[in-house]
Amino acid sequence: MRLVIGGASQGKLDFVLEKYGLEEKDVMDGNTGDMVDIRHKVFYAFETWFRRQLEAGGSPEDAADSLLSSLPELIIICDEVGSGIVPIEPFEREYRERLGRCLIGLAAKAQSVERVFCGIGQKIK
Amino acid sequence: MITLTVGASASGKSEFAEGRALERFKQLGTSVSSIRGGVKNYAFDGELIYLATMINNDGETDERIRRHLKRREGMGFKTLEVPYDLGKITREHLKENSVVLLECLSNLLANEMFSNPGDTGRDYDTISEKVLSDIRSLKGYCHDLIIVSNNVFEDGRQYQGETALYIKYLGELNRKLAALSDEVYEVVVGVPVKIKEKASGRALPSGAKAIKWV
Repeated sequence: MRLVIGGASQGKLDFVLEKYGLEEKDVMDGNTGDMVDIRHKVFYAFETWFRRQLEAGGSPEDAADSLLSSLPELIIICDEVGSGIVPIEPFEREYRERLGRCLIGLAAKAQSVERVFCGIGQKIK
Repeated sequence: MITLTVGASASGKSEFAEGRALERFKQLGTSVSSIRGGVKNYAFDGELIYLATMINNDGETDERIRRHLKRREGMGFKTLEVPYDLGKITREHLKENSVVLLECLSNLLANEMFSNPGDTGRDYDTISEKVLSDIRSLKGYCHDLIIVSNNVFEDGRQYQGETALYIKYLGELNRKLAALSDEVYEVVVGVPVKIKEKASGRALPSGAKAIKWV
């Protein structure tokens, strides 16, 4: 598994599609989709999917874990969401905390971690 | 040469960009003089230009601007105020051998999107394209262009409406300018981290940390 992280609007998806020679049909869009399956090579907007799972009372961490064992070649693209003021709303805090912790776990298992900034990828692991 | 400098608020990106502009200006002065025979006391006709984008609309801003102006005068910058319509700065305002610091893209875009009195209902796509093409033209009128921009993309908040659009367009502009730039720096706690350099064999400027980029 590869993890690609970066701020909103930094060109993460374009970076991945170009670098790994993939197309839109290879992408599961976490903004709208719920299930990653064998056809998908890229899991985009992991943060939005994660948030929606939390809102529905689910356990996205477990779902992410089982994904890794079934799709070890998956590229996960996620927004950096932790570099702001810690929000007052409890759900917003929980979202950042749980997503952050989950990403640390994913990054530890990932064969590479890249951070995209201004469209430029930096390999940080 | 174009240099893009991006960082969080109060990250030291402006101080780094000012220092980089001064450094480039000195290098340019030396190289122009030597090209022209290295004559001693040759009057180098370049200028160090600061394009300021803050709109002065209250006492607090006024005071802040005054303070900044004074500091920059001491550094040798000539300040031109362009809160919007960057395209008004043309060849007539700039000497060929000038080093221009645009401070900053994030203000300029916000002013263009939300505060341009000449705005006649242009859509944001057009505005963003105009800002990019104005910057491209500006580069044609000077020797070096150094652009400062903000990192406003990592707080995880779900903004609505115009703020969300502003973030989207600033992100796009940062990416397009990064692609055009010879050098891109991210400044973190005052430390410039170079994330792009066009193959040139030039050494990193003092204090810059090299990072592997892919």
